[in-house]
Amino acid sequence: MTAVENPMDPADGAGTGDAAPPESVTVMAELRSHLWKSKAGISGIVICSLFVLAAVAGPWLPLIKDPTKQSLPDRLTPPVGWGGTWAHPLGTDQLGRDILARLIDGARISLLVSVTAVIIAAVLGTVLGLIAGYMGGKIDTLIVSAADVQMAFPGVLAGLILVAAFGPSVWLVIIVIAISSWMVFTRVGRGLVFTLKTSLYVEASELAGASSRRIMWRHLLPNLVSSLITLCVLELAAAILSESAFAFLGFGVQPPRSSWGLMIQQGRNYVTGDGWWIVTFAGMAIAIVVLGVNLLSLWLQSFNDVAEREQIVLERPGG
Amino acid sequence: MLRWLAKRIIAAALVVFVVTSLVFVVTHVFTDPATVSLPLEASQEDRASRRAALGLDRPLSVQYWDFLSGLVVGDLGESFFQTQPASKLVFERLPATLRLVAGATAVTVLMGAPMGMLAAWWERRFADHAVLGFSMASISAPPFWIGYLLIIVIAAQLRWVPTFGSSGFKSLILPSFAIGLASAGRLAQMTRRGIVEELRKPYAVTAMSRGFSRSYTIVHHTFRNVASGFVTMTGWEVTRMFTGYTVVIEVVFSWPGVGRLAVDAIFDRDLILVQAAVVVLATMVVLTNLLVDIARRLIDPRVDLA
Amino acid sequence: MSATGGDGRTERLLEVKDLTVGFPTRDGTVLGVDGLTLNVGSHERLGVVGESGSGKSVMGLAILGMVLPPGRIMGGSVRWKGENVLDEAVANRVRGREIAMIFQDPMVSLNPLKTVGAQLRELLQRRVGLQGRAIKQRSLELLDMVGIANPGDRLKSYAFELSGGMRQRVMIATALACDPTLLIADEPTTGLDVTIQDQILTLLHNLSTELGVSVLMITHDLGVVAQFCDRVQVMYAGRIVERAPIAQMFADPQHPYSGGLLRSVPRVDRAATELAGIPGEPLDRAQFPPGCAFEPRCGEAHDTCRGAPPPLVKIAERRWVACYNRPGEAGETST
Repeated sequence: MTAVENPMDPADGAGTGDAAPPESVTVMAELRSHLWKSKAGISGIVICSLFVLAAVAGPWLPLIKDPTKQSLPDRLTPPVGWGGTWAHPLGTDQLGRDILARLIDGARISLLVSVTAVIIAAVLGTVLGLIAGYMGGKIDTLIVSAADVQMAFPGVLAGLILVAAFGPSVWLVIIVIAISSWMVFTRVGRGLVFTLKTSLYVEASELAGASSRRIMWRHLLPNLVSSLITLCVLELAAAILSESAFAFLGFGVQPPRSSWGLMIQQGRNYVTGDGWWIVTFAGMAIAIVVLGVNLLSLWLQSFNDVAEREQIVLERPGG
Repeated sequence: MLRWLAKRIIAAALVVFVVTSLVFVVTHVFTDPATVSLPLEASQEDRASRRAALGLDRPLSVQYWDFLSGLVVGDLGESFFQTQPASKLVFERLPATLRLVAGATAVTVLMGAPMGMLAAWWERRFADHAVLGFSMASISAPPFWIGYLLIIVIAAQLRWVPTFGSSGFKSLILPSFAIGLASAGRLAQMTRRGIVEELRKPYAVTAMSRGFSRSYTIVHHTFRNVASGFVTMTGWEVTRMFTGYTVVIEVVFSWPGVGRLAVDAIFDRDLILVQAAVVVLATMVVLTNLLVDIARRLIDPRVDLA
Repeated sequence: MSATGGDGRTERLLEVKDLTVGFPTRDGTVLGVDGLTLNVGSHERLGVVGESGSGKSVMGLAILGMVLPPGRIMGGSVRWKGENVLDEAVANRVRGREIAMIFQDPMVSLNPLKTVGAQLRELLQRRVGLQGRAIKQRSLELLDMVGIANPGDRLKSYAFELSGGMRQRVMIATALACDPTLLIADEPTTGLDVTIQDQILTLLHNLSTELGVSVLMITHDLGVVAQFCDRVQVMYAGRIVERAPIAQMFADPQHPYSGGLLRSVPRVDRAATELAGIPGEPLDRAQFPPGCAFEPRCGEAHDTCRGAPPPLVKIAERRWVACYNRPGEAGETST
């Protein structure tokens, strides 16, 4: 595991690409067999699936109340076990809305924002990394400098200035998260291209007269995929946390729509009195989902590590 | 060393220049402080007169030159809402933020390093798994939620320390932990990984095959290589604190720092003040990176001279 | 268990019995060393030969009770002069002082951030207990012993400032620092120029004779074994398949694998056309057959070979082989 975002380690991703084109069938089969032996992998998959299910099918789930229905007589009902009833298993908020329903409703915005942001960052970052790595020279220098500057001006800072200038909105949050993570993909993409550039089959197809664009698409991209998926999962965890932080500060989704970060912001006046459950459960939802994503990424990394380790143990020259 | 240092300082200044210029583009080209300060339904005349009052009707190049020359002498413009120099407001708040970062860094290093060593020492044993569990939990929980949990349990229920505000050392404890736990989790894993990797390297194996103990080898053979990475990683955590954690945690604990100043300024539609806060925080990030580079250079003279 | 160590002149130093090292993988545990048995007597030079992936490197460290995680020693015993080396307290005493190891790649096996002098000093101070001037004196003596010119200057050098042969000489000097009784040399000449290889082997040979140090030579190179050793064990897939004095092994190999290895070595007295490889690839370690591991590549295999691994049996004085086609003397087995 280690860092959710690790900026110093471009070699990390570069090491995982094989020189030979991947045989996706065997890789998938091995991933699956590895998964069943990994508690982290299983827990990660289960948590992430529940998250996606809540986000996609939330309103149609049975027994789930209307997340926007207010009921002032029921306000600040405690959860079951603290004097509450099964009518509101996790209690109600300051306006009497059902917390469980609002949590399920909030999953949608978290998923939407974080996944969109990571996709934008991955596409943008990878393309820039491929271009930088393949073209080299001035273009490479320019892109690498841009990534370095971005490192000094990350996340929330860029968010503050953009929100101040344009006002809060979900799209702005997506853009801010994307621009604070593209360079991670650029570094990995670039590093990987550098290692692959010298490998034989690229040289061979250059000799055979294939255009450089075709070389990029046909030969280099498939090798990127496995490292990029691992990285996407890692960045997804960071993106969900960022989204919740922006929502908490009031920069993202605006009421009456709901998000986990926003629930914490709205519930914070009740933390020391009667209503600790609002903040507690909303935060727990974020923490569990991020934990699930992190477990998934831990498992993906350990899969790579195991493959590497076996190579070291069993293929050391001379024994 | 001096030549290298001069180069690094120039490079750092260059980054500050680029970042502040980007900020200027956002605040003056895409929009302007006058427009932001007025409600959406304000009339054209109101806008024009306020633009004139703030000097925003001058050519952009003149405004940019003003902005840059102000930057050099520490003039970051005037807060529209509070009618005071923005730099004064920001620098009044900076010590509080620095205290918070110092406290959080202390938590990070004092928890992260020992946990990482412990985990490496007992690789694949219970302690290792326990540290991994702590790390996974701490990096998965949003820091502001950790903050509220600490408030609920330690401040409100147990009443050991004050809940909000910044009165004395005791009030620094909870926010420092709220920020530092995640950083400590990451640092512990990085330290563990670094030591374990070094211990597998042939030179460490050779040392152990000559009868040196695991602990002796960790301290006398692998320490230098791990130390460099440790400093880099700690520096990276500090930059994260300046650019994210402090902003959120200052809001949670009503901590009178630069981050909360910026968030309040956003709701006051005070673009100049936000800009000043962001420029100062970004400068802190660049300074941190510079210090990390110098520290790494002192630890390991092989750090490249580029 | 019958005597295999020497010919009566020697005292038995190292006794390894049924040593098994396992590595967990995603397909279950793979045995890096599978029931290794060997003995080294005093003043003896024993060779262990096998191709890549036969578990030789794992073996060298395992004899010192060391396995890189996630591997671990799963069974067997290692005794040094009767004491159990797998006991951590004994190991701490024996490592370096009684048994010292020489590694394959001295570039990475020497500490890159410490000078030659610092690495010798560390050993002489902490493992031998020398003080002050004696350290410097002994360091110079050691470098001189391994044939390094200008030892005074070399003490201040870093590993990367030395040539490959020089580095291996330094490595040998650090191994000799504590006056060990046994040297385990793990591919000490691999990666060196042929002429340098020869120098290093000659150096090791002379040192072992002059200082009375036994050597356990782990290598893939039969040439090295022929030049250096008194006795040889052939390893395949983590197990010993044949054990014999050097002359008999080269004259009359008994195990099909040993035969194959010998035929793959170019010799001046045979035409190049007779040079033959062993058919088939070295096995993927995770997919061992249940029976004899060599069975899939063996020309003489039959049904018995697919049942269980053949035991190592004595077929003549000082000759042992693990093959169903070479029945041994009754009752004399040792796996």
